[in-house]
Amino acid sequence: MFHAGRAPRLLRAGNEEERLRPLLVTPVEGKDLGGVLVRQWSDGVMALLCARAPERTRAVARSKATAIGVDPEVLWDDALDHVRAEPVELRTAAAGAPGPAITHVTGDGGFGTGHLLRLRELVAGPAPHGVLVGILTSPGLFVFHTVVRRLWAQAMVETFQKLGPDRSRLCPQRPGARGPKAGETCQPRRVFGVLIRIDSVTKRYPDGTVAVDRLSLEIPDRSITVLVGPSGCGKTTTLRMINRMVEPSEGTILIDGVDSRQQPVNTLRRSMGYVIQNAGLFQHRTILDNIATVPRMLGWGKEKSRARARELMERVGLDGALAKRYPYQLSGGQQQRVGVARALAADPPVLLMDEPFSAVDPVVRKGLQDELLRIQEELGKTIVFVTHDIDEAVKLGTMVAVMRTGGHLAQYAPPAELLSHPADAFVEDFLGADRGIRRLSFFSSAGLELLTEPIVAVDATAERIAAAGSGEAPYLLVTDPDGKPLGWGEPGDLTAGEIEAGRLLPYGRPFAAGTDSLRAALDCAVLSPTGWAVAVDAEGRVAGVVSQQVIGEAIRGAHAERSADGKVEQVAP
Amino acid sequence: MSELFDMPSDLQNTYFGLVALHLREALLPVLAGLLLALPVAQLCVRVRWLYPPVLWVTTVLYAIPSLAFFVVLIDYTGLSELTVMIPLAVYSLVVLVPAIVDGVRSVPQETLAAATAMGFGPVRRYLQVQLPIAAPAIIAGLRVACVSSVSLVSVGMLIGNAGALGNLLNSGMIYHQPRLIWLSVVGTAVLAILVDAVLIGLRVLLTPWMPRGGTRENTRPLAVKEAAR
Repeated sequence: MFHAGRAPRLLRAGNEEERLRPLLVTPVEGKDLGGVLVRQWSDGVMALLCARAPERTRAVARSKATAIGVDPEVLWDDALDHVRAEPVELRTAAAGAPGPAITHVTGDGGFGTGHLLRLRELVAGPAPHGVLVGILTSPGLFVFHTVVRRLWAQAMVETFQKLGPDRSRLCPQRPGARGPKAGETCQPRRVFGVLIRIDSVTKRYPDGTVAVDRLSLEIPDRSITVLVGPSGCGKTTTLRMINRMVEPSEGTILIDGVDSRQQPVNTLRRSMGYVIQNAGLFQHRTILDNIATVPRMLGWGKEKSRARARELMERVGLDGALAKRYPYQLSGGQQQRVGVARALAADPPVLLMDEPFSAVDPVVRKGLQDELLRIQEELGKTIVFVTHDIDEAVKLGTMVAVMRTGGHLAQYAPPAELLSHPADAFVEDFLGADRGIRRLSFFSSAGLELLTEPIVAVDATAERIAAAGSGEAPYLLVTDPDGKPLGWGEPGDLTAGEIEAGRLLPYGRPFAAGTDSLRAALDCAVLSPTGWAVAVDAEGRVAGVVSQQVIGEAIRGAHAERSADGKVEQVAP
Repeated sequence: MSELFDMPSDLQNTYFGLVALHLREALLPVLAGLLLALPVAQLCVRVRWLYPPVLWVTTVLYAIPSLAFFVVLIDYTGLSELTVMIPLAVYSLVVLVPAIVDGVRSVPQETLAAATAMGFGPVRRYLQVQLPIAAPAIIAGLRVACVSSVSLVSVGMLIGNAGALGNLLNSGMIYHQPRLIWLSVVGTAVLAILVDAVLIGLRVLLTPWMPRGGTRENTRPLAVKEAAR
């Protein structure tokens, strides 16, 4: 990886004379930002380094970067005045992946906005080849992280826009560079590095019961992997083997490439957050002290731990006034939030969740699930999530592992693929009878052709009603003067000036045009006595109406499209 | 007033001296019993099959009359307070061991699993999680043990001068002085009630995390807020 004898150059901050070399920023799946897909704003290597003294930082940075296989042409050595002494966290990119041309190394999780702005100038400046950047910072390093990420994403978007459609210019141009040569198209690389690899692991109990049978699983970095299956399928045992609460009888578990048995068991456990059903809070400690447990054990000191705990309470959506309360004073949902905060307290890269939401009522559960997705979006943890609820698995999982009784893996796939191509009868059965309907959640309603013609305002004139009634729709949707739906009426029954809202047919629950899935649209049409669904915009005004037939056609169209590019679904292992 | 508390000279003590002596003879054995019961109980928690035989042994020990204990112990410890305190310590085990075992076992499984998963070693887990959560149960056991110990100390009268308020009772009977009998009986009862009250206070102080009638009220609006979210 690193070629001996070619030490990376060091760039000083603000030295704009230096030409930044182009480098690889692979568009990857994820959020669409101004025409560029940016999932994790950094591709390749992320390194967070630290040292007390600036001189040391530079040396450490270089040695660390090279040690983890980054082969940067330039090491950007900056933000030294802000360097904080934090534990070093290193991440390696997927093996063999080319590193970025520039590696920015900093120990400061929130390295100053000023630096970012300088970088952006460089990015948006006249550099012929554009830009950077594989950068740095530990995921989830405190508050600045989100800001930093956002700024970087913006910088990248601007760069892409500047470059125009010619993405090939983003490929490394220098001779012998890794990756595609000039002119070739950049192929998206794997999005995630593998963080946890379960390698033919078996758990056999002394009485001969086999809980897990030669299970192999690659759990991708920074994503939610859900283990789902009926009771007794060994999903919890599998989870507990990751932090060695259960020792495997055979096989190995590699965490970031290292056998989990190589470090002391309690060190391993403290590097993984654990969330359990019913939260399992320490009832004799206040909420704040519950959350601060692991930081205290790691020797952070009382004040720092508590400050961190307060920060986390906010992050998981808990009122700060609860800090001094005891667990019994909280509702089940609040307790579970505390459980999540406690697991995140020491900023572990891995989060293990054992049926965390199954003991709370459905409304609270939905809230907690949404919260988890939001937290994951912000912090980018590697989450392993155990549940027996397939709906939860499909909703949360980036990857879903369906397990069957006896500890066998039945299927391991992204949820959309699981629903479209169940591997066998067991998986199909486990997914339930309505998997076709459920799969519709993955299709957007954006492509639906909405009719605006059969919509009349409550104060419409007779001509307008007559004109609207002449269309294909057997019913007309009546709206109030603001454009909000009131109900359906037959054209013949509607008399100008005398439309009574009370006599109209109900319109069911409208769906948000474009943002809701086809499932929501279909649900809406099925709920409506007229068989027509009402689409509304963000303000709740009617955007149009659509019939069951049209939705049905859209579904068929979506299926056809999916099977055409079915290979895309099967990228992941 | 001072005449009320006048003591016969053979007791060689003032009334409050006797009370202090009584208290010491009652509470030291319970403390010793607690120190003995903690490891025994922990052993019973860890080695499950040990619990029934241990319980059986403590019950049998409890069934031995104190007089029998004294007969045996006098050969070793003489006519001293220690001879009274040893049986009392042994008796306290019958309450304390089950109280601690039940208390430690009552710690919810998920709390223990969470502690283990957070990297608590066995010792840390016992001291920082199990024992604090078992505290209310242990204190409940202590209350019973202390009160029964306070009443049992009087038996020490049998071996001479080691019965504290029990000796006062004896003197009252010998000298036909109801005043002394009343002082002894009422004094013992008040002592037992006070010790119990102190332990209740201790529990309230140590376990602010226990649900209590009064504090429930403040939590209700929060729960409602949560539901409204």
